[in-house]
Amino acid sequence: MKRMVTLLAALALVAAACGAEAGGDGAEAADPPADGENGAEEAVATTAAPPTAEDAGGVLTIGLFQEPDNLNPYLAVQTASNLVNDLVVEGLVQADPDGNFVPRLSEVPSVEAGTISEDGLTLTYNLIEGVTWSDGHPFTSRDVQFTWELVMDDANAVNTQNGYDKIASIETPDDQTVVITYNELFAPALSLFSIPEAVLPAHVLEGENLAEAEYNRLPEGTGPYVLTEWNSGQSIILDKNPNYRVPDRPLIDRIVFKIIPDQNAGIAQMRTGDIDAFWNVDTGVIDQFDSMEGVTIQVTPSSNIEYLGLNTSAGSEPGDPHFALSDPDVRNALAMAIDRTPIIEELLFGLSEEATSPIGLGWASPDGLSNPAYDPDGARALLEGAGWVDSGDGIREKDGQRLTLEISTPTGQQVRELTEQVLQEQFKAVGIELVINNVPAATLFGNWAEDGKLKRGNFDIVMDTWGAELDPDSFLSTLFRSDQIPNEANQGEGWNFFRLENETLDAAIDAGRATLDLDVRKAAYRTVVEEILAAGVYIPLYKRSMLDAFSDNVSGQLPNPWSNFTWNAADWTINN
Amino acid sequence: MLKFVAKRILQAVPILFGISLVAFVLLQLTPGGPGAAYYGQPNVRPEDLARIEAQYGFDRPMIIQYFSWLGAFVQGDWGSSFVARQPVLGLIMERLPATLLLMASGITVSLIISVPLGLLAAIRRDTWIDHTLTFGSFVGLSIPVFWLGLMLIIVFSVWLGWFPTGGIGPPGVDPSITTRIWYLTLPTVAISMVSLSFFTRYLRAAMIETMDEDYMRFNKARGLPPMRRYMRHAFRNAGIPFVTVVAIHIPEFLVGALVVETIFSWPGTGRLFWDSAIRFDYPVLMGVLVLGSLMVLASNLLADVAYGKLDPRVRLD
Repeated sequence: MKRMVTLLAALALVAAACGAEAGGDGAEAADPPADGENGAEEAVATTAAPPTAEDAGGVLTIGLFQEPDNLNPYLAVQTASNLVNDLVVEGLVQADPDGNFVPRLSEVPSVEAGTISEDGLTLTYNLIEGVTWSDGHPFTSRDVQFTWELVMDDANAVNTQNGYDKIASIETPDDQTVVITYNELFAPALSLFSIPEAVLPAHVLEGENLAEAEYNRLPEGTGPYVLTEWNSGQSIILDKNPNYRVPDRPLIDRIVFKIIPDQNAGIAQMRTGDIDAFWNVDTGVIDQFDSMEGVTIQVTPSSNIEYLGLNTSAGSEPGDPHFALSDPDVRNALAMAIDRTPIIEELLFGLSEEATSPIGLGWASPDGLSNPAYDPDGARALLEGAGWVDSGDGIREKDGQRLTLEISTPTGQQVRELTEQVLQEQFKAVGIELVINNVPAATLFGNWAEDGKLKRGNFDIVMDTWGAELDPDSFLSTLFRSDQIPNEANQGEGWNFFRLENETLDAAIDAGRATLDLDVRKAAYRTVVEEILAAGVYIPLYKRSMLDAFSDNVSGQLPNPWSNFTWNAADWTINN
Repeated sequence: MLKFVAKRILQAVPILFGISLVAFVLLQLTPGGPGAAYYGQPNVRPEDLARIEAQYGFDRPMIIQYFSWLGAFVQGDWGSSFVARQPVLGLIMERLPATLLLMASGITVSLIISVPLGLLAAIRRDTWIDHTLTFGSFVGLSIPVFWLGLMLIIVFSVWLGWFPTGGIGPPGVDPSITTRIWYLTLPTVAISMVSLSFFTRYLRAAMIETMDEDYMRFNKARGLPPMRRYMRHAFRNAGIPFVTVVAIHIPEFLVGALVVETIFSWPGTGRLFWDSAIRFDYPVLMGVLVLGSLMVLASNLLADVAYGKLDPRVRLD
């Protein structure tokens, strides 16, 4: 197995995205890698060498262990759905591997170009010329306007209207121009109609009942591929879009997504060559690829962070302090008692990196952060100082109360269960008893009425993955703003289950969403992250990596943390 | 006869009504719900969830939801899946042929194997053949289907490589009849094992009971050749309850399909049900449940009708 090339490529991307270690001053998120990383840069270049038309043709079979629910970007929930429909439908703009917006169906609006108004309320999109839908119908500004109307029609039950409901009007002065005016400033405006969504075809969907539209299964798009058939439970087949705007693209004739039952079947079929690529390999089974010839694991860093969330309250009300975790010294002692090395090296096979922030990647990710050093002695001293003393059996107590904490994570995830056991040992070494109480995801994340543990504050420590999107605003405000603490009065609204109340943090979140000026926003998010880490309620463990297996017959892939692994599939080739 | 069938069909209506009501209530009482799919997506705000739930009517009392489902259902509208965003009836019909194929294959294989074995065991009663078959059928009856399915995959697909690990055919090609059978083999073995053993045991018992009848002894005394005695006289009589048992047993294959389809990634209604259960897709679950109940009721009716037809002593009215 050749892990190295792609791992290097991935590292280069991380370096480019953060600009941290190399850049020193850490000025621009999009800084190219510095000299020391030339090798890595070459690795990217090799992987992304432009193929010629002679490499065209062939059939690529990709194994999916999750069947898409539907392929409408506004209705689909499954990750696998985006993977498939990213080949068919397109947004106005897209994110490149460094997390910058780049053109797709439109130029990227900017203040410099005059396409974003000074007050940030009006965005003008100049659509790319000569784009047609795969059926030959011209793509126009009306399609964008129609998409908005569709999203805002409650009858269509789309997943989210977030942001779309802040649009006052969409005007279409001509076929190539879209002018979007917002009621109030919406910081992630550039993601709308684009990430993870797309523009819908007015000529296909106008007057359709979206609850049953054929489009949801057989989407019509402007992308490199056309959906030919979906055999439910078996396969989804895509063929070259004959009307794709880019000449000589795509290169591969046909892409078949084969629905397979589970990870083990995927591994078996990679071995027999029944599939050429396998999406989203579990870290727990990665060693099974070690003995496989002609298969490379592509490592893509992601903004999803595995973390420990600490509950500072005894219940749902923040005024009711937790017997131990309400004390910052105890929280800091926990952070110092954790050694991430065995987790990353042994359980994750070194394929993930230590996380230091809730925002792991992208322009909003602050540079130069580090975790408190692993220091069991320091942790013991902090606990002593806080009044927690050894009760005689190695576990500390205070006022007759033992320092026993419960950790919960959704059941059925091996790596997490093993991580809990590692933490159990490490906490025990400083005198904290950690009890593992894993529950089904629905019990952990359930809503107020369902007595969800997080919503009700009925937990001590939760181990979970959550990640900021390219625009961190909704992530940060839902998890950390004071008014998002779920309680009796608001019937469990919000996800601030840390029950953290911090005015500086709230103000910084608000400052981050009050402008479209990226420099101002970056500074605000640095304050947000620093406040979260200082509070010690969120202990970042590691960055989850996306692992995908590719046969060496396939080339042209480029890992992109902000998109699906199929994002540049038009440039791929296969030799079969 | 027609009157009997009509009466039974009329009786089925309140039964179906009862089943659907209980199923609807149980589904709604299960912890979780369609909103669970949105956990961990901060972009889906509380107001978005409320909007989606209102659109699907989840905010209304359960009984109102039930009658609104029922009202549409009796008019032929099975609702639409809020996962696939497609009409439920279409989704089920798309998957049904695969399930029927698997069931038909399972029933056929069970019969082809169990009838000769049952007869043989009865005729060679208390010999080593009978004992071996008895032992074999008890093993077959005791093996859990999911375990058998996994073992078949490990041995015959992974180790020996003789059969595919799952699916109904290679993607994107119309399979030939041999390819079909090749893909069908392991799921059929898994789905037929229990019924096959059960049928063998049942036929053996029915045959032995018949062979102990006085007229059989008389036939033997008359000097009729053994094959004629067994096949024409004993099997004909023992076959009547056997047919009934087979017909009543058909729904077991539907239940088996739920497990077998999931293990062998067979694209049938059983797997559709499983996938829909995970996502709390109530309209699809209700559709499959009602269809399953219909199949059970139809099999029972078939059993009764067959009994009436085959046994002149039974009059249906």
